[in-house]
Amino acid sequence: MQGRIIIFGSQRFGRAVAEQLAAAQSEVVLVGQDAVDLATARESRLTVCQADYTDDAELERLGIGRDVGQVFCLLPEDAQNVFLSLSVRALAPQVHIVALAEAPDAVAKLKAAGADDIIEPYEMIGQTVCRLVQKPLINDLLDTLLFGDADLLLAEVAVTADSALDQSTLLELNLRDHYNLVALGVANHTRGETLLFAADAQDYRLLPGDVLLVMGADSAITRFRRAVAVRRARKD
Amino acid sequence: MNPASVVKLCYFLDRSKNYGRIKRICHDLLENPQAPVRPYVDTVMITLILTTVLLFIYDVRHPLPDWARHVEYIAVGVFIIEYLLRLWLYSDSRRIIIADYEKADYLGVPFRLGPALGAALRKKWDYATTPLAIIDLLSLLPAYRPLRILRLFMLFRVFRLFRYAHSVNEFTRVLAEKRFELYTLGVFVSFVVFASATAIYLFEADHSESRIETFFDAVYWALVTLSTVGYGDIVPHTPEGRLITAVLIVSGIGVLSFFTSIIVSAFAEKMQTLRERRIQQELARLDELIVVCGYGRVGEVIVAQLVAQGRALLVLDKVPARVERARRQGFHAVCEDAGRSGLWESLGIQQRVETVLCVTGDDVINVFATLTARSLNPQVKIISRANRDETVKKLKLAGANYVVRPFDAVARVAVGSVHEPLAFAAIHAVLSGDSGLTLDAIRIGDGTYLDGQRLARLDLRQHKLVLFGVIAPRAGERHLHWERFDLATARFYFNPPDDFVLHGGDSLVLFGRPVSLRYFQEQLEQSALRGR
Repeated sequence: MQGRIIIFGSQRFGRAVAEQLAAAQSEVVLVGQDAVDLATARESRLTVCQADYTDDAELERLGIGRDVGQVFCLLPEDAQNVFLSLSVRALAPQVHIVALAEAPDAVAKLKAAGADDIIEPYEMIGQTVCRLVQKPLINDLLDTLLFGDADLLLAEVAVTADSALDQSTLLELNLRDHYNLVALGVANHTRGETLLFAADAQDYRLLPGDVLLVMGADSAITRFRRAVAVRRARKD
Repeated sequence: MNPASVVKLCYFLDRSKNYGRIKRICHDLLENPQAPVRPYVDTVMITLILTTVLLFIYDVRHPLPDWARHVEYIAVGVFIIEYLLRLWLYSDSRRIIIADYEKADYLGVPFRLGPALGAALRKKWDYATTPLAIIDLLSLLPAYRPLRILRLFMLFRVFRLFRYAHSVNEFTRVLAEKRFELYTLGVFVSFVVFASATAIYLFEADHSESRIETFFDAVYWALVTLSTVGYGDIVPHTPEGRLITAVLIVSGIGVLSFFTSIIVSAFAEKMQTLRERRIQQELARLDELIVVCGYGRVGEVIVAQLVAQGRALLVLDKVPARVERARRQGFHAVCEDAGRSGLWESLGIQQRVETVLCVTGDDVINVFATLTARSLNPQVKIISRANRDETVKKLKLAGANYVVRPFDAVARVAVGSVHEPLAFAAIHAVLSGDSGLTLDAIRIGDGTYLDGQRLARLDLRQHKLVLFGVIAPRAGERHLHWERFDLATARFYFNPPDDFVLHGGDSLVLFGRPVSLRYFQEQLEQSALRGR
């Protein structure tokens, strides 16, 4: 994602996201109205700013509409997040907005207000706990692999017109044997959000604009990317 | 009666397995509330009681056929046997005599049979004087037809049903709890009745038209008026009588309200306890119970999902409004402090509870509940929520198996959506089940068609599944596969090659539609039954 990242909401969610993003070397500004919360955030070495989210002029001063690429609406109330999404979308039609939804019916409202991605924290926790109850092995696995320090990654490999992936099928690519990767599926923003599952898409021909989702070791992914970057002479 | 032979008999009975077994069987039939045969025995007894009562009622105005008399004799026979059995089951006389004998033996004094027998018989007398036993005994009397007054004892036959009706027991217990108030009321009513009966008798009894002839009539009238029934068979004719009537009516209303308020308040207090007891009775039939502490937003989501998967659960919360909401949505819920050990024991944490979820928004409560549950059952699975990072370690120390950090999880997803949005959206969709795809670990049972086979044997394309990897027990070097990750209790081999050998006890981590996963699992399990 290009551009600066702004997080609205200086309470727990906002601070947690800001800390993780800052740790990943992104340029993050945490915006809030409560002086105490902002002081706590400043202690964690975060860049903070005190501003009123309801004032469009202040939003513009923060850079929305100019050089901000990503906005997080993590305010405590759903109504506040909806208001903020609307304001930001009106000022900056291209920015990527991620919003927090507490009640399930806020999801539709936030989407209508212009949010791109919705995070439902309570749903997620509920599902994690249910997974722990029903399938503890899977949870263990995911925690260790995806969310821990292990080498396994989930990666997106974009298909462009000049890559070797164009016009290939998953069957031909045989990621498993050649690159030691597991293909999960194919996604395409323009076709919609749904993921085309790999087991159903063995014969699907990849087109430019598709994104292949693979999982595997970091080194294997890099090798794969390099291998398909340019059309191989053999294919022609 | 030779004391030595009596003692020998008692020892013989105590040691005899058959005697013990017979007594246990009878106990199950009559006294054990949890024996599976009890409902049938109870139904038979209730039917018998009701039949004899109905026949008796019918007999009042119509002649009964002969077989009806036989029914009565059989019923009375059954009741006599039941009475004697209950008397026998109430206490173990042989143990009393043995204990007495051993005490005498230990102290070195001669054993005297008299006092020992006396103690045993006194125990039996204790049973005979309990209300239910008296009812049982008295209900046997109506069988003796010649005495008309004994018809009254037929009522006791109906009272026998008290034994079988729990709600009646509750009602009597409620009354018993309020006996001081009821006693006060009783005294007051007696006084009012006596005073007004006397007054009305003095003024009305000698009046020519008055229906009051004896003092008993006056008392009868006073009660009928006081209770606001007013049959109208006895009415006052003199002006003084009417005045007394007016006073009695007004005080009658007061007495009635007093009585009603006592009963209502007693029941209101009892309702809570009754409901909890009913919940516990229902819970007693459940197994693999999941207890959810905290019915806030997280709790609601968890409960909804677990219920959708058919799990039995119980909600625990300190806030009454939340408990009400849970009840309204049809879940078992108890309004109690999750830190109370007595509560956990009554919920059956040692036997029935499989998992405990401490998911309130307050870390202090979560830690306390975790500790309490763990101290009572070292085996139960406890999953707790940590709202602050520092609480994670405390929860682990308190005994939680897993700790969930909501804010952390959210932040990770938020961050993931920045750097690799599609990938994270995909994982998120999979984990939430929204996309129709799911990740599951399917265990390879011993003797199934994959046990001992190479991975190549697994036809993923046909099952429409994607293999992520294999989870195998830690012990033993399975394969020199470098993509090996150590989990808490097992080892995960990512994307193993075709010559990887699978064993019973391994789990395949598969990715696919729930229907494909279920079908694959069924096929796998059936192959064990078919013998490959």
